[in-house]
Amino acid sequence: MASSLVSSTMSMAPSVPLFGSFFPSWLISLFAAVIFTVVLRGVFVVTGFDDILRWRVPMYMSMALALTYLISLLFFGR
Amino acid sequence: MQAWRDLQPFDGRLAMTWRIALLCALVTGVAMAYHIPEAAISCYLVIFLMKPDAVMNCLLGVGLIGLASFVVLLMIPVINLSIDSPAIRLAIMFFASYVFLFLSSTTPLGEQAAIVGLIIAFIMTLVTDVPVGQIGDQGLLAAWKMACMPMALMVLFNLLLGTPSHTHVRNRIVDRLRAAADALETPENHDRLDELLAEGNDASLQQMLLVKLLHLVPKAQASWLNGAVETSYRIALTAQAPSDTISPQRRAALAGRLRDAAERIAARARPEAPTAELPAESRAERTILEALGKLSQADGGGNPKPVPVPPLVADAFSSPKHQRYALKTSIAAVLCYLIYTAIDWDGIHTALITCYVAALGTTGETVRKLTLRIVGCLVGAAMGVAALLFVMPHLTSVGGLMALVFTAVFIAAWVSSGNERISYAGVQIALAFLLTTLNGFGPSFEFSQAGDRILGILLGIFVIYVLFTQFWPTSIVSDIRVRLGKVVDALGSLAERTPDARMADVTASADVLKTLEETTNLLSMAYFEPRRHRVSNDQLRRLQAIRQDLLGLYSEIRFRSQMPAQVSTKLARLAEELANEQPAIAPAVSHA
Repeated sequence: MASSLVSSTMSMAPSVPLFGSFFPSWLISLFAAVIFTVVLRGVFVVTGFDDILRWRVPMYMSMALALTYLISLLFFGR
Repeated sequence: MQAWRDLQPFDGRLAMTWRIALLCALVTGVAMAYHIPEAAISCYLVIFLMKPDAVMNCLLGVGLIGLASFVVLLMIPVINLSIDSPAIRLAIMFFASYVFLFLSSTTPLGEQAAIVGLIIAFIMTLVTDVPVGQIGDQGLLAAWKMACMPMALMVLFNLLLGTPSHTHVRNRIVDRLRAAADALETPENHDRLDELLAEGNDASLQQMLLVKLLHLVPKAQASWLNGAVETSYRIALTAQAPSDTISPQRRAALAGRLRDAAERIAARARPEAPTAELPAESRAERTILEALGKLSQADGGGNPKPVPVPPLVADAFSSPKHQRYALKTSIAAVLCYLIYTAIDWDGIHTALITCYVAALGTTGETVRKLTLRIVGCLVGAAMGVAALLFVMPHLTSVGGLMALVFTAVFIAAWVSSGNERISYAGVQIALAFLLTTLNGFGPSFEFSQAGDRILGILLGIFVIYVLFTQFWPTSIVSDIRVRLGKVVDALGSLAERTPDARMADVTASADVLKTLEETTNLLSMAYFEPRRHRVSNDQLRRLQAIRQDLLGLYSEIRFRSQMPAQVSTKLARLAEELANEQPAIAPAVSHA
C-alpha cells in the first residue's frame, strides 16, 4: 500500500498548488487555452474573419489544443 | 393502435437515437475506466437532458456543470455542519429539495433545477452511509464527477457530432413549405401541416436568437433565417385556407412554386422572387405570393423576435400550486429515504431518485406518467435480466459492456425520442436497464442488486402516486378551461381587425393553434385522473366540442373577408359557457 502510494506520487504530472490543492499543469493550460480561444473567436467575429472560415468547429478545437501546448511549453517548460 | 403509431420512425428520430446511445456508451466507458460511481445515473442524465439541438445541449451542459460545481462547493460547509446530526441532514435535504423544486416549477430553469435538488439530496444520503469527514468529501467529489463527467462529454460530443440550431431552423422552414404545398394540392390531407403549425414560432425564434448571439452563421444568413421563420409560418397558415377559396389549377401552380422554393432553401440558397404572370385571384393566393416574394429578400421578410420568457412565472407566489408541488415531491423523497433507512435496505435507494423524476404538476399528468413509468420499468428490468443471463457471461471487458449499453439505450432512446405520450416510458426503460446491469466498474452478475433497484423504483412510484392523488389533487380540467378562455379572447381580438390584417396575422394565430393543440393533449390526460377526482365524461366531451367549435371559428375569422354575423355571438356564448361551468367543477375537485 505504502509503496504503491510512493510510486504514484513519483509518476504524477507536475502540479501547481491552487486553492489549497494541487492542480496538474496540463489542466491549467487547457483551461487558459479555452478562454484564449473564446476571446480570439470574439476578435474574429468582430473583424469578419469568422464569416469566411470553413470547418469552424474542428478549426477552433485545434486552436484550443495548439494553445494548450504553447502555454504548457512557455509557462511550465514541458 | 396509438402506442404503435408513436413508435413509427419520423424525420430526425434515428439521428437523435444513435447519438444518445453512442454518448451513453462513451459515458459508461469513461465511468468504468475512471471508477466514477453510479454510471447508471450519469447515463440517465444524458438520456433525460439531451435534445436534438446541439447548441442547446452545449449550453445546458455548461450550465449544469457550473450549477453542480457551485452546489458542491456550497455543500462542503453544510456537510461539516450536519455530519453529526441525522435530523439536521434530513432537514437540509427537505429544504434544499423544496427550494429547487419550487424553482423548477416557477423559473425557466425547469428540469435543471430539479436535477440540482436531486444531486443535493443524493449527497446528503451518501453522507449518511459514510459518516467520516474525509470520506464525506470523497462522496462529494464522486457526486460532482457523476454529474459533470456526462455533461462534459455531452458538450464535446455535440460540438463534434451534433446538429446545430440553424440547420434545425432551416429544416423547419423547408418542412413548412413542403407541407403547405401538399395541403394545397390535396386539401383533405393536412395532418402534417397542422402538426407543424401547432408547434408555433417561438421555439425556432429562440434558436435563432442563440445563433445570432453566438454568431454561429454569417450575419446575412442569420437575419434571413430569422425572417424566414415567420414568413414560412404565414405561408403554412394560409395553406390551411378552405378549399373553396382558391381554384384547383391555381392550387397546383402555387404548390409547384412552394416546392421550388423549398428545394432552393434546402440547398442553402435564397428562393427567387415569383414572377407574376397572372394577377392573384383570391386574397389567400395573394398572401402566399407576397410571402414568397418576401422570402427572396435579404431579411427573409421581417425581423420577428420571440416572446421573452419571464424569469419567474406570473403566479409564482400568488398561486399555491407551485408550493404544493414542491412540498409534495419533497415529502415523497424524504419519505422514501426514511422508509429505506428505517428497514435498513439500502439497495432500494432508487426510490429517492424516482421521486424527483416522476413528479408532475397535475394528477392526470402524474398518473399517466406513472403508468408509463411502471411499463417502462418492467420492460427495462426484463431487458436487464435477459442481458445479465445471456450476454454478461460472455463479456470480459469494458468495451463489450459499452456495446451492450449502446444496444439497450438505442432501444430506450428510440422510445424516449418520440412524442410526450410515450417518451417517459423510454427514459424509464433506460434507467431500469442501466440500474440492473451497471453495478461496480465492469461487467457484473449481481441479480439481487438488480431486483432491489427495480423494487426501489416501484416504491418511489407508489409513494408519489399516493401523495399526488391524496393531497391537493390538481385537476387538469381547470387548466384546460383557462386555456380555452384565452383562445376565446384571442379570437375576439382577431375578429376586430380588418380582413387583410386577419389574413396576414401570425402571432395571434400561432398562439391560438398552439393552445388548441395543447388542449387536446391535456384532454387526453384528463382520463387518467382517478375516477373520484375526475369531472364527468359529459363535461370532458363538452370541452372537446368547445375546442372543435373554436377551431372552426378560427378558420372562419381568418379566411372570410365578410365574417358571418353569428361569429361574434357564438364567441360570446362560448366564453359565457366556459365561465359558467367553473362553479360546477370546483366542488367535484375540492371535496376529494
